[in-house]
Amino acid sequence: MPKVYWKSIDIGDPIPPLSKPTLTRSEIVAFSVLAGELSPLHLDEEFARQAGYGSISAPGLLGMSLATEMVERWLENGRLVGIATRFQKLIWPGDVLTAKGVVVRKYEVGQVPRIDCDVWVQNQANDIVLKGTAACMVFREVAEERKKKGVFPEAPLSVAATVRPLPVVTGATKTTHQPAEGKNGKKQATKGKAAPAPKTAPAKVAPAKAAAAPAKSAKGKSGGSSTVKSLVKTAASAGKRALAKAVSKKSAAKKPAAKKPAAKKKTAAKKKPAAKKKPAAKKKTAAKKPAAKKKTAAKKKTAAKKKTAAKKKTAAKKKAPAHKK
Amino acid sequence: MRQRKLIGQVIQRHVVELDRSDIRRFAGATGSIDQVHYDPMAAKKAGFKDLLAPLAMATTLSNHGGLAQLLEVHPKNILHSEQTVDLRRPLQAGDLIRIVTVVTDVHERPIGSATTGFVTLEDRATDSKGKQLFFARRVLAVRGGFPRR
Repeated sequence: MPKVYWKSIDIGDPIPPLSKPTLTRSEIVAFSVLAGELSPLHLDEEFARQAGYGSISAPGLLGMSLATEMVERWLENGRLVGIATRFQKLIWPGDVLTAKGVVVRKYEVGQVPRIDCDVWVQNQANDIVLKGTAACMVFREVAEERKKKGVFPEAPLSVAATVRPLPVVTGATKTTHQPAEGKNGKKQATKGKAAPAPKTAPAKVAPAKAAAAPAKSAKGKSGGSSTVKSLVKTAASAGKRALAKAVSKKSAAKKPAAKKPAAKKKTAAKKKPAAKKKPAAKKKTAAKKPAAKKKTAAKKKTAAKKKTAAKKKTAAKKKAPAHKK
Repeated sequence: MRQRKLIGQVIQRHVVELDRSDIRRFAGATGSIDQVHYDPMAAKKAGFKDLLAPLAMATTLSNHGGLAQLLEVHPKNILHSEQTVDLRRPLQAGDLIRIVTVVTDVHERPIGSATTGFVTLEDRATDSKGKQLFFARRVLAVRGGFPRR
């Protein structure tokens, strides 16, 4: 690779991409142990399946190390001094990872020339599994390189000056939605032992802008609560009320505030249309009928009022035990 | 959310000595081809006193093994969400590194219809003279949020 100097670099210059051969399970396990990532999700196939993932997944640091390696190979005469990454998707066995990057900023810290690069790692489906920024230190020009022996400045640098912080994501991030993919993983695991591939659509965000744009698409379903809900539904449809009560009690214990308002809304929705329809019907009849028939209309009104009152009473009776529960 | 009590708490202090074999193994696992990670002579030529550790290795020196118990969550619910590393000076073989891990943030926020918990850990590393070596920040996502038993 040709040597890189601060004066010769332009914003927008691409970093030569670096690909990794197809990732195997044994590589993932070996890297996890070496990196001290001892979560059973990276080591134990059976545990990962039971947890809702189709297979073990690689630690995010594996993707990060590929990105740092790409930058280090490019910077033959410079050094990577910091990196900030956000893990967007899980990395599965069978994935073919490619790291890419682009120069986004040129600046100086205490007269030391620096550059920032946007880096990202994508899999074989062009899904971005990781994105972030890397801070690098380079020589200004050939003459400066000849003068200096070391590659790091001796003066300590402030945190803010080293790595550009990642943009704050206020909404949903893809990273946190990875658990939702566990459902897919479960299905794949039942079909066979094939390596699970990420099923979500490829990211539409342009890689260079990716670091600045928060991910918008999100399913936002946690595996645990959705399974409880589905259990309740199936039990009720089969007529097994006892089972449904038992499950709903458990879920109510977990989310008492979430269920009660839903029940109230349903009853309110039932009441309101009925109350609106009756006055409308009364108006029509009153307009059509002459004064002589007013008495019968009045009788009907009282009858209707009585009916609504009776309905309300029965509804209130039904409600009361539900609240007590 | 009682896990917020952990904010500011030091959850681990330990000392690591970087040796050549660790650096070589890690560099090999990441597919590095730079000889400054394998050959001491090449490292000295480049201006280092001994083998240079890859930057990503700084994130692996701390041990967060007991974190799941501390947060009272199942390990299956913990996912690594973000990682930041800032080097103050290059890590080299023979360095004696003191690492202090601190919980700097614990919060929950709704993601779609579910709640997700977030824990931020900071590793502050210094050398034997007390000079800063690196600063690593790790954000972990907890599926389903924190328990409220």
